[in-house]
This record gives sequence, structure tokens and C-alpha cells, in this order.
Amino acid sequence: MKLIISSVSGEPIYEQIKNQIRASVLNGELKAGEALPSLRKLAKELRISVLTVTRAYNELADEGVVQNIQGKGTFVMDKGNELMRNQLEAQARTSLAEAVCAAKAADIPLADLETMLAKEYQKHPS
Amino acid sequence: MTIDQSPVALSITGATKHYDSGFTLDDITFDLPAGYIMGLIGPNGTGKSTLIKLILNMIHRDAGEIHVLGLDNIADEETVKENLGVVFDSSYFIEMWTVNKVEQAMAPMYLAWDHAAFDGYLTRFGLDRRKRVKELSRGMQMKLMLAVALSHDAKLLVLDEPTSGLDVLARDELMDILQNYIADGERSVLFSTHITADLERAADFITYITRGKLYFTGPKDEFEESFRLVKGGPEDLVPDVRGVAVGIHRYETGFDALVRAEDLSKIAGLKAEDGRHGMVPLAVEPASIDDIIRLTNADDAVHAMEVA
Amino acid sequence: MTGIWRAFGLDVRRITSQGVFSILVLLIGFPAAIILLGSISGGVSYMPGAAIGGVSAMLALLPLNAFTFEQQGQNNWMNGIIPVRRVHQVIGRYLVVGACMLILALEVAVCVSTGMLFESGLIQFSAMAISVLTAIVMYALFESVMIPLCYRFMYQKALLTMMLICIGLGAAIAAIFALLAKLAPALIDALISWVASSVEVMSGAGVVWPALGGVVLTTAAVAASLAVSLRIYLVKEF
Repeated sequence: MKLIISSVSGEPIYEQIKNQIRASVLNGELKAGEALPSLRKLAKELRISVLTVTRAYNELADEGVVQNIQGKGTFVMDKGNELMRNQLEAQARTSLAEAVCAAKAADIPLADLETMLAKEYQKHPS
Repeated sequence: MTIDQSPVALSITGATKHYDSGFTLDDITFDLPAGYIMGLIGPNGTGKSTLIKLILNMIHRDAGEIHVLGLDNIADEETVKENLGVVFDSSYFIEMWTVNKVEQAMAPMYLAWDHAAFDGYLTRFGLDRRKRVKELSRGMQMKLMLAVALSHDAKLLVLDEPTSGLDVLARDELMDILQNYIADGERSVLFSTHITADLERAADFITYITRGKLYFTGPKDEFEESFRLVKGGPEDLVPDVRGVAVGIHRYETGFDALVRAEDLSKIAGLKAEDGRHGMVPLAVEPASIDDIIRLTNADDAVHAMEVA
Repeated sequence: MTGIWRAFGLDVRRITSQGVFSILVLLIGFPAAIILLGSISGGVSYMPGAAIGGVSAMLALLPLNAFTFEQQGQNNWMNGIIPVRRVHQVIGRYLVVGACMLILALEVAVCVSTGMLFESGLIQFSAMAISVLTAIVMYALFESVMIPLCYRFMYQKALLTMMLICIGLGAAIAAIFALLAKLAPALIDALISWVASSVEVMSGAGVVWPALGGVVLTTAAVAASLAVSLRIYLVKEF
């Protein structure tokens, strides 16, 4: 798993970890059932505090992206589960909102936008 | 994975110490859960070393209780100190001693002394057994104390300003060692420092003491996130900013005000549409640990006591 | 009692910070040299005295090295770090004094015996025993005053204070005698004849009574000293 933490980006470190792990799970880099590095191991490698990693893992667990199993570790959840579906749906909606914003700014009518959406859907590998 | 159920490495309740000079360390209360690193911060001379000496029973405690690894620090002094590794900002070994003699002196003190481990640290730190303590540089003297502290299976490491006088590389190496030390989740670290850069990286908890009083104790992230820095020009220092500011630093071109995050909403003028008639809105930034310390010790700081 | 033993060991290491060798040389070499010189030059009679004087002075100051080294730099912080209670630290230090006292006893015994051997070929046991006893009692009295002083003050100040005490004591005794001589000469005569007769009685009684007296005196002095030292050290702040 690749994680790059920037101390100057202004974004809290736990957010960066969350976002990067979530992205890796959603795009399939991290497979369902895969174990994330232990809290302390990751903290040591990234040279950050244990609590920060704990918070990131806990919040990801709340989102349903990973699951904390007491005594065993933290594991990636199956993409098919409900919480993750909601995550993905929310992500889709956000992207669509962005697309709508850009379309409106460029005066692109809804029909054209729908066509563009259909084309992208066909293009994307399953 | 909540923290509250884990054992507590250090528990301090109402610790108080009066000095004849008038300085008082007053009613300090905080816990360090096992397996974490806590940074003890605050301006120099405001009580950090006093607190550490209280933990070690080197000075007399006027009130309160101190428990180390669950044991009373006075009643069970011997057991506590068997499990404590200590590094001070000056070497406490006799200058004439060689590194070898240091081991000869310290090894009999601890049931769990590990000669191989000590040897390993000497090699890793580049310490020559035949060198006398007085021939070592300041950084090497600190490493010697550290080598001793790490060689008897201590469960709590206490360091008092270990990095003052060290260069960036040495400080970085120390943080590496400390993070390694807590990797098993059972050993803990308390270190006092006024070099907050060391904390930004690996500290899990912060206890902030200023003017002898406890200002904050809790997770580091919480400490940083509970404050914001509000910046503006000289005319922007209006009553509603001043009213909520915990500390203000004024300078010619404007001011920095430290504000608690939850008080931000009380300040009008943070958003452009708040009727400031075309003026630039006040800038709001995250507050770094340095900012917080600096501004809570500014001349017009409000000494509100908060314990997380 | 591991604490006491640990404290003892640490103090020994403090005292030998500059090496055991130099200490041994002084403790063994010095009297040996004097004895050699004495036997060669024929001035055997003063020889044990000189050797004993030198060795006593050295042994008197030897345990105090624990304080001098401890007071250098921040070595006193070490006392707060090691898993040894303060009570044990003090007792351990007194044990060091005790060890030095035993060494002194040995040295005196050897020097006096050697002197006797060279002079008459015979060892007069009771005379030697009295010498050893006297040396030990004086040593104990000296250290009993010095140790609490060193706990209370820095080493130099303690030494200075000790000198002042000795001078003051000597002056006081001289003054009292002078006063009494002026005011009540009969009292002084009575005192002196009492002392003379006691000495006669004691030397007649052999070694046992002085020995007992010496033991009682030493024990009392050390006990009082220990109590004072503990009182000072237990509340000391590092």
C-alpha cells in the first residue's frame, strides 16, 4: 500500500491517510480481506503519532471501508457491503455535481451532458 | 480500540509543589496511557522539570498523588525505578568514569540489566567503552544516558529536554528510537521539550504546562484542532475578536489572535458577506503548537484553565 | 537489603573514580615505605606513628570522596534515579566508613606490630590492642561529625566547618582549663589525679574495659551521626 503524507499540505494527516486508503480500496488497489499494516507499524513507518493512525483507521471503520477486529488487525471490507456502496454513491454524486457545475459554466445543455455520461460509462473498463 | 481501557503508564493527580521563591506548580492532573508518547511542553522555567523531579521523588511533593505503572511513586519507589529509564539534559554520570565503568556502576542496580542490549546500543550510537564521560560530546552523553535507560527493560522512559543542544539529525534519530520503543504497545514515553518540532511528528499526547498550571492535556491532534489563529490588520482588533481571544500578539501591521475553535462563530467579519464593506475578511488559519504556546504566554493572554 | 548493598557498591565506585590502583598504593605502599625506611635508618620508634598518621589521614578522607564526586556535575541526580531508597543510600555510605575503619584497624595493627617486632622482637598484644582501639574510636568520632556535615554542606564547606569545630573545641577546652586554673586550682588537681588513677585502674584491668568503653563510645557516636544524616538527607531536594 502506498501512502504519501504531506506535512505542508494543510490537510490534517489523519484525513490524508483516510483519503488515500479509501481511494486505494475504491479503485481496487486494496483487495477485500486484505490486512492493513498494524497501527504501530504504520505510525513508525510514516513517522507520525500512533493516535493519528488510530483515528484514521477508526473513522474508516465507521465508514465501512475497513473493519477493526480486536486482536487481529484491520482488514479491508468487501466493496459490495452497504456502507461502502453509500460511500461510492456519495462519491459518484459529488463527481456528477462537479460535472454539472462545469457544464453549466460552459453552457452545455443537459442532453449533451447525458450523452457524455453514457459515452464515459461505455468507455470505462468494468 | 478505545484508549480508555488500556493500562495507565503514568497517573498524576493534583500534584503540587511550592518553592520558597514563590513559584508554585499547582494541582497538575493527567494520565499517560500505556503504549504512547506524551510530550510535556511549556515555556522554560514554568514547571516541566519540577514535574519530572516530582515523579522521581527527587523533590518533596506538597500535595497530590503520583502513580507510575500502577504503583505509588514513593511507597514503591524501588520497584518503580527498576522500571524507569531516565534521561536528563545534563549527564548525571561522574565525568571521570569511562563508558565501561558506567555499565559497571549501573548494571548492579537493575535486576533486568541486559548486557547484550547495552553493548548493542553502544555500537549503534558509536560509544567507545574506553572513553571517559567528560570526553564525550553533549549529544554522546545524552546517548549514553539513553543506552543505560534502554538496557534494563524499563516500561516507562522519562526524558527531560533530551534534545536541547542536539542537531537535527540527532533529534530525528531520537524520535526514531522512541517510536521503536513504544512499538510493542506496552512501553511508554514522557518527554519534556521546548522544541515543538520534535512533537509534531511522533507525540500522541500533549500536556501543556505554563506558569505552573496545567493548561491542556490530551491527544495532540485535539490540542491543535481546538485552536485557530485569527489574523487581521490593526483596525480589525474589534471587541468581538478581543472578547474571545485567548491570547493576542500585536505588531505594527496587524495582529495574531489565538481563538478557540468553538468561539470562531462569535466573530463577525470572518466571511466577506458579513458587512465589512469591501475590506479583506479576517484570515483564519490552523494554529501550530508553537503558535498556541506563544500566544497563551503573550502579555494579554487569558489564563483560562482547561483540562481535556 | 539489596538496596544497601547497591548503595555500598556505587559509593565504592565513586571513591575509586580515579582508579583503585592509586588508593592501594597509598594504603599499602606508604606504610611499607615508612617501615622500610625506619628499619634501615634505625629510627624504629617513631616509625609506626608516622605510618599510622599518614594512613589515618588518608583513610579519614577516603569515604568523603563519595561526596566530592557526587557533588561534581549532576551526579547527585543519579541518587534520584537508581532504585535505591534514600535510607539505604545513607546506610550504604556508613558501611563504606565502617569498611575504611576496618582497614584502618588492620593497618594500625600491622604497623604497631611491625614496630614492636623490630624493636624488641615481641608483640605486646594489649598495647597493640589499645593502639588499634584508640585509632578506631578517634576515626569513628571524626567521621561521625564529618559525614552529617558533608550531607548538609558542600564538601569544602564541611571540611572548613570541621576544622573550625576542632579549633573551637580545642580553644574551648583550653579556655575552661585556664579559667578553672584561675578560679579553682584544687578542682583541676582533683580532676588530674582522678584521670591518673582511672588510667592506672584501666591498664591494670587489661584490654577489656577500654575495649568496652571504646565500643560503647563508637556505637553511640555512629548512631547519633546516622540519625542526623538521615534527617538531613531524607528531606534533601535535588
